[in-house]
Amino acid sequence: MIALAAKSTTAPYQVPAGFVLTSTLFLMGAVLLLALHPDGFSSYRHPVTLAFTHLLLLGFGTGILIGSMHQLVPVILEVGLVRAWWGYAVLGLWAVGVPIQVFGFLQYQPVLIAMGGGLVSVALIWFAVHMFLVFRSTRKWSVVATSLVWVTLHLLTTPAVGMLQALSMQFGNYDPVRLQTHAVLGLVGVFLISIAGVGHKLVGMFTLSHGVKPRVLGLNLWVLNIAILSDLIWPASTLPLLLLAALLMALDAKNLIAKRVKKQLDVGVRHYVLGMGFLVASILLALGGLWTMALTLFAGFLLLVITGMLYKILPFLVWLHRYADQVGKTQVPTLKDMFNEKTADAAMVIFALGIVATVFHPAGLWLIAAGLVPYLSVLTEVMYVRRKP
Amino acid sequence: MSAENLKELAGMLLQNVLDPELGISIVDLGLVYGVDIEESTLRVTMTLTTPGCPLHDTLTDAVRRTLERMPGIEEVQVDLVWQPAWTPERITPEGKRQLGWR
Repeated sequence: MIALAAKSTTAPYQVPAGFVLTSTLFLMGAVLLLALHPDGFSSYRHPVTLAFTHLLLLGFGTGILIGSMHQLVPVILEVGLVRAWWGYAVLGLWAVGVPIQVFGFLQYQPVLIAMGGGLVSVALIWFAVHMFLVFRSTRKWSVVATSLVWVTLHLLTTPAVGMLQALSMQFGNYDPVRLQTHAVLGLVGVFLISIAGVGHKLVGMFTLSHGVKPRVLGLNLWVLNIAILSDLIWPASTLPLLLLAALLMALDAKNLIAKRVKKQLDVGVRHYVLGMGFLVASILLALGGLWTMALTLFAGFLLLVITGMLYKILPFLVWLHRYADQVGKTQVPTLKDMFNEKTADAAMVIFALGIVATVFHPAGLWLIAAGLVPYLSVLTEVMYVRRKP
Repeated sequence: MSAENLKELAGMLLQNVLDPELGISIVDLGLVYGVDIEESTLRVTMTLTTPGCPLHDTLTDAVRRTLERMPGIEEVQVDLVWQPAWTPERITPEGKRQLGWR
């Protein structure tokens, strides 16, 4: 049976739902900000670029990740959260901190950057403490759980280096190399590791895959962490290692899909497969030194994979909240009944075209902005429309 | 109603308990291992595709609610077991058809 969580073991519905809602607002803000100010493409340290990056990664990506982990970690570890209400505190601190930090970047006010970053850091520390308590209480361990431990650790290391950078802007000892470390910890430590781990679990669940051992994922966790270390010791090996990691992620997805019981690939898996293509292309472009193009494709990879997973996570969350108690009493909708998959496919195609267009010209961002319309339509349908079963 | 008829009725009613993700009944997914009746107690032995699947509360409650309306049944017990483990071979031909394998 496919499931993401039982009501009794996870955070209250409002916590992951609040993260999804707020993350979506941050995504809209990120896309519109860069579309309106394409001069951000001129430098990675441009105020608009820094604001965009933090809206996209710390706002959208991290928000969905933390919200989902409140739901997924109890499922994967088969234990309940230790203090479910802590999720509200983490949500509040993060939701307030991100806009303050982004405003600080746009206005170049280091105090606001540090203040917003500080609030988010407290949120992430709180979240990490909670997760480590959950990790400690489980008797069920797995490679996916190990990946989540690494993600939680890097949810601490990434803002720690970022905060050091923000404070050095105010008090001196600014080091541009630290910015690269901050980026690698976030992009690889948080996002690639979480997508490799959670992706293994979710693609397996969504395809009803059976009999795939997590060996490729286990190997990939080594490769990804060595890639992070190599950036500090021998940066020349980082990109080849990341290419290997991306290929291992694609191989893992291929193995899961090959052993699937459900024949048709659903919308979340289609997003995932397309996203893998963008990831591999991104690293190849980075190896060729085409950094702006590479990072654009990497952002596209994150956008596709995260939105695709959300089309499964959110309906399940809402289904549990709204219908779980009704099963057996009355007819309830299935997850597929809760939104129109063609609308989600439309969002995927428009996003993908927009990302490719943006690789060549910043005006492509308006196409990505257009993709937000069907994306928001799906989320709204899932959350607010009570379809007749 | 005889015990055999009650078991048959239970099987038919369990066709209405659907996996929310797949929209396929737990019977066609091969999750129901057996239905037994002892006097007025009906016992369902079932599994889930993943050991420790966290939605077991929802599905076991659904099975209980679905069957407790049966005539002559006063109590429904649902035993969730992990041995033998579920495999795709347990899916019925109808389940396979609904999963897209014609």
